[in-house]
Parts: sequence; C-alpha cells; structure tokens
Amino acid sequence: MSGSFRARGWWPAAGAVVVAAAAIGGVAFAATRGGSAPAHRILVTDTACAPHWAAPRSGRTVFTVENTSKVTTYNIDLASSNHVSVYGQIEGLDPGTSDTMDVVLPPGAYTFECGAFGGGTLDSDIARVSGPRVAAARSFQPVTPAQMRQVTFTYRLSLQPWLRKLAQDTDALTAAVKAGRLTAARSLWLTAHLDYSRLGAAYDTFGPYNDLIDGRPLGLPGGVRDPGFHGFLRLESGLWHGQPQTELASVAVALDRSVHGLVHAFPRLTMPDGDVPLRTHEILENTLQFELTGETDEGSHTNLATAWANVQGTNLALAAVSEILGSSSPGLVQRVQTGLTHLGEELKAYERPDGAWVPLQSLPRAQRERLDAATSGLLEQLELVPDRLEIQATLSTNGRETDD
Amino acid sequence: MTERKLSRRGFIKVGAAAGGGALLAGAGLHEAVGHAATTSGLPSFEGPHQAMVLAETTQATALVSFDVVAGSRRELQDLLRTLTARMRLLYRGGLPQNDGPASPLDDNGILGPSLPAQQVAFVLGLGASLFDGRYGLASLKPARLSEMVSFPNDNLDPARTGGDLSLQVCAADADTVIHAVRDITKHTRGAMQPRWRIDGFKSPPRPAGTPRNLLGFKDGIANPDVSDADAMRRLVWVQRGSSEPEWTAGGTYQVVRVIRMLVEFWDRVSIGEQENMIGRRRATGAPLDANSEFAAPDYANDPHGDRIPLDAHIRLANPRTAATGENLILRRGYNYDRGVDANGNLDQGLIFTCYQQDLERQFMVTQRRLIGEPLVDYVSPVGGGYFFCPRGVQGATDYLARGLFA
Repeated sequence: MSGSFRARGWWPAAGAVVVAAAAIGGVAFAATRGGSAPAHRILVTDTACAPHWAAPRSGRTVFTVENTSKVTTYNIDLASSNHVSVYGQIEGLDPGTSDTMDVVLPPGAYTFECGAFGGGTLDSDIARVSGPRVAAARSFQPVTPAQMRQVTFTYRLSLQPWLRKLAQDTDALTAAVKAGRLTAARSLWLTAHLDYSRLGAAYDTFGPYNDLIDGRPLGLPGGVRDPGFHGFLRLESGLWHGQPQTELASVAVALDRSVHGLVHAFPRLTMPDGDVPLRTHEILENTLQFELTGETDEGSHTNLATAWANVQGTNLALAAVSEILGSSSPGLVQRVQTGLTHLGEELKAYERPDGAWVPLQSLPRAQRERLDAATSGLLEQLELVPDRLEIQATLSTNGRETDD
Repeated sequence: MTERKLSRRGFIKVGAAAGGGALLAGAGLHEAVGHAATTSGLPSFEGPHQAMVLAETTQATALVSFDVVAGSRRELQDLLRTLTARMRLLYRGGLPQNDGPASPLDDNGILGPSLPAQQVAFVLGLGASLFDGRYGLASLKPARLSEMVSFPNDNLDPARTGGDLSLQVCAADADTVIHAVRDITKHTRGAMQPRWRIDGFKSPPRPAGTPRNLLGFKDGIANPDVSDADAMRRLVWVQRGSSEPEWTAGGTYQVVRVIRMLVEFWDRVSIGEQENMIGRRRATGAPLDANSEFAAPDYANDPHGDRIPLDAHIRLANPRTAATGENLILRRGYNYDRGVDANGNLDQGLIFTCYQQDLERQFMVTQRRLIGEPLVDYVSPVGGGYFFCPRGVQGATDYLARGLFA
C-alpha cells in the first residue's frame, strides 16, 4: 500500500525563481533610481483618478497612492489600458490616507482605475511604459461579478446530490443506533461523516448548521459530555467509547434532524460571491490543521478518511472555478489538479479492504511527513486560487469583502 | 521525615533556617562588588507596586507557572519569603554567596563569577487554585480571580494552563532570564514545582515604532499611558475600599494567554484580507483610515465599517467609546517561537499578557467582544492562566503576598 508513493514535484520551486528574479530587478532599480518617491506619487481625489500621472520605466516600481478625498474610499487598480489585466491593487484606500503599490510592469499602456465605495469608477489617462522587456509579467485578470455568480451557482448545484446522499446515510446511521446495532452504526457513521466532509464545510459555509452537525467541544465546560456538544463528533465519542445505546439514540436523532435541516435550508443559505475560490484553498487548510494532526479524533481514528473526503470536497470547489481559472492560469489549474489527484491516491491507499481506515496515529514518521509535505505543498499552490479569481474590485458596489 | 528526603539545599531546610530575617543575611551576596553602574536598570518590585507591570517589555522573558507543594501554610509563607529573597538578590547583583569549599557552588555560573546589577526583573502572580482549602486562604481570594475560562475558539491544554503561582522573568538577554529561572527553581525545590513554561522575546522596531508580532503587524500600539498615574489607578491597580479583600490593594490582575498563530495559513492569505482582519496597514501599523500608527481610528464617522470593518480586531477589541473606556487593559505581550507541531508546522505566536484592576470588567468584557472575529481562524489559544499580582514589597523584612498572613 505504501509502495504506491511517487516522487512529488516540489511546488514552490517555480514560484521562488520568479520572485527571486523580480527581487533582483527591484534591487537594481532601487540602486539606479534611489527610490525616487516623488516621481511615483499618485493622487486620487473626489473627481479624478491619478491625474497627470507619469509612467515609470518598465520593471519594478513602488507607487505611493494618496487619497485626498474627504469622504470616498476607493479600490485602486493599475490595469492594462484595455482594462483586462491588473498589475497592482490597493483594496479600500480610505479618505486622507496613502498606501504603497508595488508593481512589476512590462512595456505597454496602462491606466489607473479608481472604484469608489458606494459605486462609480474613475479611470485615469492612459500612459505608456517603455524600457527593457520584463521576463515575468505579474498581473491577473479579475473576474466579473456575473462570472462569479455562475461559479457559485455551479458549485451549489454540484453539492445537491451529495447532500441527498448525506441525508440518506444519516438516516441509516440513526436507524442503526436506535436499533442498538452499534457495530453496524460505527461503519455507517463513517460513511455519513465522509459524506459531510466531502461537502467542504470549511469556515462557516453552512452557518449554524456546521456547529450542530460537525462541531467540536472547544470551549464547552463539560468537554465531550457537555450537553452543548452535538453532531457527528459527539456521536463518534459515544460510539467509540462504549456509551450505551439508550444515551446515544437521542444524539443520533438530533444529528439526523440537523442534517435534514441543512438539506432543507440549503437552497436559501446564502453564499457570498467569492466564497468558492476561498473554499478551494481553505478546505485543505482545515485538513492540515485538524485532520492530519489527529486533533478532531474522538475515537474512530478515521482522520485519514476525512482528509481523503476533504480532497474530494476541494475537487468539487475546483471544478466550479476551473473553467475561468483555466483561461488565465492554465498551469495553476493543472498543477492543482495533479496535486489533488496524487494526494487523494495517497490517502485512499490507507483504506483497508473491509472499509476501515489505517489510523493516522499508526503511520511511521516518514509516511506522515510525506502526507504533510504533499498537503502543505499543495496549499502553497491553492492559496493562489482566491487571489487569481478576485472579483473586479473597481466595479464592486458593496463595500469591502469580508471573509465571514 | 519530609526533611530527610530533601537535599541539603532543599527548600524546607533553607526556609526553616530563615525564620525571619536570617535568610536574607545568610544568603546575601557580597556587597563590595556588583554595583557596576547600569544605565538601563530594570525596575524592582520594591515599592507600592510590582513595578515591572508598568515597565516597558524587555527583549527576553520566561513565564513559568508553578504548582505549590508546600505542606502547610507556614511552608507557603516560607516559600514566598524565599522567592522574594532570591528575587532581591538576583536584582541586586554582585558576588554569589559562598558556602565554603565543601559545597557545590551556589550560583549556576551562567552569568559569570559576579552577577550584573538591576538586569533582571520579575512579576509574581497567585493563581485561583492557591486559594483552595490547602492553605486556609479561601476567604482571602481576590474577588475576581478564577481559573482560566475557555472561550469558544480556545483549545486549552490543561498541562499548559493554570497553576498556583506565575513568575515572569524579564531581562535584556536570554541567558539572564535562564540564570534567574535556574536560581529560583533551585532555591525553592521541594516547595513548588514548575507546571508549564514559555519563553518569549520582543522584536526590535521594524523599521520604527511599536514592535511587530509574528503575524507581521505592529502589536500593542494603543495601550493606556503608564505615565498617567490617574489612568493607572483607574485601570491597573486594585484600590483600597473596593469590594476586594484588604490585602489586594496595590495589586493587579494578570491574564496570560498563549496564543498560537497559524503562521503558514496566515502567510497564504492576501494582504487585503489580513489588513481587514486586523484593521491596520501591515507596513506602517496605521489604522486603515489614517496614515500614522498612533493616529486614533475614527469609528464615529464610520458607522458601517466602510473604512475599518466592523469586525476588524482593533475595532472589536477597543471600540473607543466613552462606555468602553473602563474596559481598557494594559498589554505586555511577547512573541514566542518554540519548535514545530505534529505536522512540521511552526509553533509560534504571542504570549498575550495583560494587566487590569478588574478581570471581569476589563479582560473578560474585551475578550467576549472578540468572540467570532474573523481572526480566530488564524490563531489558536492553547494555554495560559489568570493570576493576581500582589502589591510590591516595602522594607527589608517585607515579602510578596505577606498580606495573606497578616
């Protein structure tokens, strides 16, 4: 089983080279120009975006952008003159404040876009950057709100069959617990918990339902026996620590009710636009923090199975964004897909023929290190997904995005 | 019986020999040397308060929590005398005591043959568990003192939480801190046992102003002004005539939270998200609506959080309204860095430490406001404790927490 490991690409290598090259460019630039700040001062006022701005030479430039408006907060982009590619960005520059914008510009034509909070975007004049070619263009293509709505729609649609499966499997689990078939219940528990783990409920995706369905006993005075501890992990604790059926039946029934509540409420649970790209990154952050440490283990020793389901959940999120991400960052999509496939295979190898899983705790150090390295390396790639899929900030009319 | 099991230097023997002022004389450092003038002397705990509470943080620190194992109230009293005596000696510096050629040297030698003067400072605190039935102190427990409360995002490890005593050792150099920890544990052996410990450091200003934490943000910018004696009376020191036991006057509540920062994850988050979670610019420390780190954010003119999000850390922690002025705490945090976790992720973060006159009115209220803030996904409080730091010592025969035995 462990013989199936293959050598993995060391992900950061390619990125590191680019960064190093850019840094060297920056040093050279600073040396020749002495960081001449005044030439790169950009003004934003109530009525004008970067009036009379002078284009720098190609390469790395640090602009100081100053918002002299008394009332308006702006999102500020430095974009190609056709408004397609963004080379630098300041999110939420408040009135009366300034911030730096560090950019690497190849020769070409550029414009500043100043998107006012509350609506309206001002564009600057177009200025032409000339100078030597720049090896690595550092830009991204923001997606439109309409594109992102489509992503959210696609993702939510793809969860529907899995939600139905979750409800069916939780029904079966509950029936087994109520009937006192606890050996069968332990196996059914795993099936249903993996259904839920596949949904990628990282970071409040399901609002209050997540605490009821998959919450942890953190902060509860009574720990795992606290009446405020509900859901799969509560049931796990009882099923694997010999709690009698009479006490577990109500836990299972409550879990089943919460699951059906989620399935019922799902069509109305709002999901902020931009959440799917965040989930693509953050599901596996949770896996690394909570599953691959064994921190959430309440006795079933199935963290590796949960991690495997999390990989599938990441795949669901990635599938929804891959088309638009693929048009701007085909290499990234390919690297992430390959990495997810490999990590999924590594994890699946720990499932025994009888459906039980090898306990994380029993893995030799080398195997744990390989899993941690694969997951961490993949995360260094996945972090790019939300950044590359940022919604066009200069068109935003809803104020700041927040994570929750 | 007990005494026979202890080494010659065991606490009980030393404590028994002390019987008043004798310990001080017996253990005294040679006075002729060790007065090398220092320009950067640290404050002592002699005076109305333990002065290190207000003093600026040092470059290095150790925070050690102890469980008291002394067998009686009298032994606890001796422990506090011995602790005070060792702290005095370590602070004063000079030649270590000479026990003659038939004993191992009293001093561990880490700082060389003569100890530098005023280069180490201490804060001693008492935990709620010290006021259980063991020493007959239940009726003297500070009114607000409790065991550490677990908040919803906390992941407290009992082995790294609580304790009967807290001792913070502060110095410019790590070896000075370690010297003092070794000295104090040696001279209190048999009476208290270390329960958990964490070492911290202060980063130098980068490039100027308030030092940064390991999230890369300047941390501790908006603290009450310690030179404002009136503010310190209102916010830090317990006053006589309050609902507190008489002996607590001049003391203060200490909260320690060891907050791990999930730095790998944090480093994978865009700067815009980071700044919105904190409410300040990472590069400068300025609130998002201003240009200088020391500018006060203007929440009154930003009721919807367009400029500084309503759930930004600085905004929840300190809303800067008239009503929340009484909730202010004095922060004295240190960064920590202690190896790796089970995944090979770096175990580093903040030894959040704060002082306040009223644990409930200040720290607890503030911490409740922070429940569910976006930042919780990137931090994990793993340990710490609540302690009460008694007033300073006044006069050669005084010792810390003497008020408990009045």
